[in-house]
Amino acid sequence: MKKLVIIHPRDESTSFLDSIWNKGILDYADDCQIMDVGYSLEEHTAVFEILRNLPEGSNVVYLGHGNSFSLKGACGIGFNMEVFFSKQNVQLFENINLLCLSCKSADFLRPFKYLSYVAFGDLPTHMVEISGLREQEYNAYKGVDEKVISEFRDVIVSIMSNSIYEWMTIGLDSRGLYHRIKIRLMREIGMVLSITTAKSTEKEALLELLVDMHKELEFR
Amino acid sequence: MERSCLLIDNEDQSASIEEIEREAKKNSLIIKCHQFNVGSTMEPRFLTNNVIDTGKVTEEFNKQFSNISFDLIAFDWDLDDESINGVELIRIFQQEGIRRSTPKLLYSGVLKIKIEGLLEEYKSGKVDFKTAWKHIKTLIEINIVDFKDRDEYEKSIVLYLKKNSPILEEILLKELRSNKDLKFHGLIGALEGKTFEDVANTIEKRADIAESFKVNLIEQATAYLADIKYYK
Repeated sequence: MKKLVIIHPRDESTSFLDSIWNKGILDYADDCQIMDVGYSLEEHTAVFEILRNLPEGSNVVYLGHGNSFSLKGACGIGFNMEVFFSKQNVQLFENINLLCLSCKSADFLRPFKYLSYVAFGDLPTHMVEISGLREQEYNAYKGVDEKVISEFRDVIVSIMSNSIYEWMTIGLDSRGLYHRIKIRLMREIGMVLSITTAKSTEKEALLELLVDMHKELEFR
Repeated sequence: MERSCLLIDNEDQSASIEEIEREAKKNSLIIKCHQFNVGSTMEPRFLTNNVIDTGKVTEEFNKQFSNISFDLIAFDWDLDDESINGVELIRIFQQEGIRRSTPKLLYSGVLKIKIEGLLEEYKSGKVDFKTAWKHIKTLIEINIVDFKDRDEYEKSIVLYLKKNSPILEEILLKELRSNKDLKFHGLIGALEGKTFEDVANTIEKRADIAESFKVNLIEQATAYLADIKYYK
């Protein structure tokens, strides 16, 4: 089995992603290393060292914030690693299979032709991000509220943990992982479409988040 | 599965329809045939000043056949009209997005004469290359599945339907039209809230929407039919 490294710069806004790796689903993997990165520079630089020594073809999962130019580190208690990975050190992901669960990670990784990845577009998981988007566009993610965004987070966790599990246990390659995430997303979309009890605004709002996630999912 | 076929001709095709249905039975097929008489003096409602009025033809076509899906439409070349023939009618259908994806066959009692005549006119200098080429190019562009002599077209229709399974788009259209009053609720904004009948009509006219509809439908069906495991 390939080595799996999960890098999780963990703070208040990303702690919901714990469930991807701490509910026993990854217990199967002797070779699974969780990098639970906290509020210190040392914990961040330790990740660079791990990546430098990873065997070629290993699998790496990145769980955290990002934008079109970087992946962010942890932020809290007087600490803020605004730029964890950027064009300066993105080559650390060379020759590994990267699953990058962070906002705009596809935009960030796309220019580096030597990288192989599964990445995403916008992934708003908190109302503060939705509010930010609404400042740029009044009607952005119409109907999304705390309840909807919480459901969206649950869906992300479920899809990612189960897909990572299959990535590792049945030997899917990155393309297979991409398709497995995509089909799970489509299943969720179908389930939301078939709900008749939810308020239609909530249903439409959750649909928009899922459809965007499906549309913007990228593999290379 | 019953297959369906439409014959567009200026003359009554009842005898040919009987022959097609009989021939189909011999081939273990059921083919339901319809006909649409265009250019016939018996159907003056399609004529304006004694020539075919394509506006009236398409309007009547939509009225008569909007709820019927066809696996094949066979056009007669010669509609006994000065300006409109089968080729031109197919071109107009394509241009207006009428039965865009339905396979089309062209037949003529004067097939060889028509082609020979065209080549003769070019050879004798009556028409220039550009004009001759325009006719040939139109034949290519209308994208017909076959071009047959009139005396063999019934068998050709049966053979075509025997050899070729219904195309996905026609199956979809048939299904949509079977529940034409239901409303669409899905991921394609342009179709949201439309009746299935309107969806079918839109898909026929708009290749781009048909494409997203098919991709979406296949992705959703695959996701629905897959035994996807959830481990926690």
